[in-house]
Amino acid sequence: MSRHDLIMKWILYSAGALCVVLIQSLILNHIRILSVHPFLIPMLAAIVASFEGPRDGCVFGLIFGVLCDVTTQPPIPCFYTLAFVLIAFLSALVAKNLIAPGFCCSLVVSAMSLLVTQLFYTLIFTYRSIGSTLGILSLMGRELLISLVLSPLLYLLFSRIHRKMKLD
Amino acid sequence: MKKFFSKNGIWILFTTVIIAVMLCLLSAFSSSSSFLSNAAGVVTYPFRAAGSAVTGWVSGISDHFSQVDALQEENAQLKKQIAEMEEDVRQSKADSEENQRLRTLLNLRQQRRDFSYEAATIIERSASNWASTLTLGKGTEQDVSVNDCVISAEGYLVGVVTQAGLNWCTVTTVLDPSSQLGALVFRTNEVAVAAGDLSLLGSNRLRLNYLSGQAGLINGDQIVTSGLGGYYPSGLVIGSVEEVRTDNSGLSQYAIIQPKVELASLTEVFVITDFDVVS
Repeated sequence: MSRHDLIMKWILYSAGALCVVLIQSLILNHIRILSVHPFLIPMLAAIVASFEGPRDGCVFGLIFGVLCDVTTQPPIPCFYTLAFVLIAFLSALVAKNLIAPGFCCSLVVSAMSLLVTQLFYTLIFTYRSIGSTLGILSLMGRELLISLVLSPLLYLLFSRIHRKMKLD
Repeated sequence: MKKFFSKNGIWILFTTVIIAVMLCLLSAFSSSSSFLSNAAGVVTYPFRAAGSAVTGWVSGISDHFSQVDALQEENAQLKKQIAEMEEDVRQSKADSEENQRLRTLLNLRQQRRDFSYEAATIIERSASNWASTLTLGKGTEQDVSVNDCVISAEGYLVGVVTQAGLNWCTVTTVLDPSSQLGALVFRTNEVAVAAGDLSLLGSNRLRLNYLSGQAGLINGDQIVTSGLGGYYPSGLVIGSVEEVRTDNSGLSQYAIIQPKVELASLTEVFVITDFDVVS
């Protein structure tokens, strides 16, 4: 792949991520089903890493995580930086060794990305003695269910970008 | 994968750790918000404000068509409420005059509350389901600082400023699981702590903890800020008691509070930038 194509690919991935972030903040944050709203942000790092491999995926996760950390108020200052790098690494591992990149792989890595983020939250809340076990498990289940429903749309978006740049 | 670890993996891990440590240090050494967060907030402020305006416009149109009947019913109830409140105002005016006469008699100083307000619009709500925060379009330029209380137009407590940038600030609402406020039961003067709870976050409720065994709370009891410690003004309405429960140990009680403010429909709030209670 030429340098120009490489740059164009990452510009398209970034534009796709920005679209998803805008949809999350303008629309999804205002929709409540089972008292939670769909949370798509962690799935971005996972799906991109499943297509692009561990090195590029981890770098994307790192940059995206830093941007999320400085533009939102996470429970600890480096929350999304650490979470998204780990998510990207695990997603690339799954895509390389377990399930070939595709619809099923994107579902699995999306679920895994949500679980990793929720695990981070659980660890921090447990350390700060916030929330009961039942409350945490209930929130995890509902968020996973509601968010996973929309992961095929993310897969369609990023798989299209990946296929377009691969063909070009 | 082995190639990844030997060639790039170590460097990516090293870079991640360095960046994470830098973010933590930047946050720890700043009183209101880190330099990066402040810069990112200033840069994204126009986009967030525009997005909030668009969302507000769309929901305004849909509300216009869907809530006509509900608004008419609410209008009738509010008229009734106004009539009752006018009667209360007349009574409290008489009480105030009597209070003034007695204070003069006993040579007491006038009790007054001086608040300085800064109006702010909500430009973003928290994306995470594990927190309840709002981002407002005012910041340190307008004298907003960390630990300032935020109230609605009706004077109900919304939350507390936990991060302040140049032209933005983040408010942790009363529903957030990390929120803890000194509270007072208005009827009995009992002191307690109003705290957010993760299991109640979805149903927009919070807990009143550290109630004594003889608390004697009833449904509908109003909960206000206690003002103890001087960090927050006293008397700001938090909500009302919905239910009193006994905790798992069976030794103490806690109450479920329904907050007075409806966070989902809030668009504009007021930041108390300064307060002075003289008694």
